[in-house]
Amino acid sequence: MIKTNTIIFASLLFIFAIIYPFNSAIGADGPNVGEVPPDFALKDINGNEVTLSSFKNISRVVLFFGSCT
Amino acid sequence: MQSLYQEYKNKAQFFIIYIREAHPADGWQVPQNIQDGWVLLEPVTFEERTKVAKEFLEKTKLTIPTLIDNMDNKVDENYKAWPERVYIIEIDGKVLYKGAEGPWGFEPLEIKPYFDIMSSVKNSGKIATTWGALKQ
Repeated sequence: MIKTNTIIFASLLFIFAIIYPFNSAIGADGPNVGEVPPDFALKDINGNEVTLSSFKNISRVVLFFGSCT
Repeated sequence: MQSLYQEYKNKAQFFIIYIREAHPADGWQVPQNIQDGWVLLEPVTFEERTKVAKEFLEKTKLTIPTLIDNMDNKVDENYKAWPERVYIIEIDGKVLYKGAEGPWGFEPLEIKPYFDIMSSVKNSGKIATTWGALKQ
């Protein structure tokens, strides 16, 4: 019984050790204050492409992420 | 959001980034959306998502320029944006403000002090603190 528990515990520890680094990798919680965020190029509702980095040294950018539901 | 846009659109470029649905009818449906008439399936094509975003803008009378996340949801993932979140990117290209995760952490009014040091979030009154409030 003790051996089984040890094996289960060791297995869980092993799985956690594999998953954790990916979870805590930079970007897992989005870019933080002071960091350069990932660039993107997205189309607007009229099909015109907008690139975030094109605003560098030109304008501050406010991003509201969301959906209607 | 619309009020903030009107007030500060000359000081920053504003964008709504329309990402995957928070509560689609084929996913995590919530009673509030049924009550408010926001019942739809998760868009499966970019065209569908664009259509939903257009309808959202029409219904809410928002005039903020709106970008559509691609169906790989890459931008959403990169910014850990779902279900909703606010960022300000400073002119130097770095993150100036990162809002907390929605829905509870979604507080667009928190951007005000970054534009107007004379105003305080406390005294400004709430315009629309959640997307839910916006729909009403």
